[in-house]
Amino acid sequence: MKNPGIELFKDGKRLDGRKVDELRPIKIEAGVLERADGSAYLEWGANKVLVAVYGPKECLPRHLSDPYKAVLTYRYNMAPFSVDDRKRPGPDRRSTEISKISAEALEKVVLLEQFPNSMIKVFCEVLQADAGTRCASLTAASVALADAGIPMRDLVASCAAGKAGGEVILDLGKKEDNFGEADVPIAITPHDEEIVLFQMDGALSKEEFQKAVSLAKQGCKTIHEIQKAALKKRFEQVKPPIKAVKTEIKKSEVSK
Amino acid sequence: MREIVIPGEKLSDKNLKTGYGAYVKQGKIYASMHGVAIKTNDYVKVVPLRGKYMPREGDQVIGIIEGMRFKAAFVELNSAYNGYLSLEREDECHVGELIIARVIEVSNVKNVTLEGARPLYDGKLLEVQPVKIPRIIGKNGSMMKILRDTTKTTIFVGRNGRIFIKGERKQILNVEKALDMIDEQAHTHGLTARVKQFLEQEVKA
Repeated sequence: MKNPGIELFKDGKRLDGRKVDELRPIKIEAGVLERADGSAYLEWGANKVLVAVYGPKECLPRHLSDPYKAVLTYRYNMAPFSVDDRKRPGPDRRSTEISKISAEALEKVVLLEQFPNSMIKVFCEVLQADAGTRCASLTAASVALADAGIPMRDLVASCAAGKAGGEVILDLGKKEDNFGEADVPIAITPHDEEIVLFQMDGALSKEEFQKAVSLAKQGCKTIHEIQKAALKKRFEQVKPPIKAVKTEIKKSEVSK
Repeated sequence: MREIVIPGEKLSDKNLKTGYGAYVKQGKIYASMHGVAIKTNDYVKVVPLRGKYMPREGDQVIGIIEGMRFKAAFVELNSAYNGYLSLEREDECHVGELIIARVIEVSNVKNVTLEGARPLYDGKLLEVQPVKIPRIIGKNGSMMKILRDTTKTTIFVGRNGRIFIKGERKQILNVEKALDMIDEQAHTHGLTARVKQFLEQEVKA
């Protein structure tokens, strides 16, 4: 997109007053949905994402099931009201791609071999979008998976870096994303810094690229601390009471 | 020592015995689940506070009959896997009935075989987090004994997080309240005594 003349970087500060290596404020809450097996709600700047996790459960459709491991499905979906112009509902080229790479990122950490012939489903709903929603969704999804009691090697923390106004910066905002030079979203496993998701849009020199990646990794580490705090807080709260009564069976109803 | 851990968190540098919810990488032990880490001198494990039921041989489970084939029933077990129950006669049970049975075999591809099914009726079915069941049973069934004796109810507990209660309507509600209490305070000490005191009070009232 052509820059209509916005100065993205001025006097060592960005459009919203952040420093080059500063993230937007992030808030994560785990266990927000009653009927999902695990869930998380995330606010990242103006981004708002709600994630629900189901499973491990019976693999449907059956032909997808794998006798050696569980199948992980990931749905990234933007609400029609999440962006300025109404987003046409339903999957499109962009959200299909994001769903695929995010599922592949989570497959690297979830111990799928423990649940052969089953399925783990992750649903990410972007309620409000303001650049960096794939990173926000993936970050929240890994919290929701942990909340569901699903075994994982590590969490996944995700964050973008890029270049705008000639400067390599962390966590691009909407205008920086639209009118900047490059955007590099990455996701890592925070403990051993293994990269599980990597994309790049735009152009960077080798030096700028290396700087962007190390900046994004630093950002992911900060995000991991927030994920950790959200999960630890989850157990401090009073747990939800026994689930609602399922059925009451009378002998007369039992056909004998 | 007890501490809440998250997946990927390091539990120990030493090469100890590794229990449920933990894994070894390069001689060090890490948590694979979100839960309470329990460490002793030679053993580390993580007790999750949420999670689906995984069928294990020998478990007693409460299931709902979901489908019938010739001389066999498929049983829904509140888990990723359904149970398979072979029958002597085809009219032994029917779709929609509730049964209590024992898991006798879990294969590599998680085919679950059940045996010794008995029907359950005239009562109330509750569902709790399966990981809370050991606390509800208590040491050597101590908690169960209190629940049964004080309220004069019959309680069937399935390892898959299902509890079936038979008895007076009022007493069933008392058991429910006690179960809520156990759920909330599962991690605290002296819970059995408190539940006993609570129930004795409620039953008198």
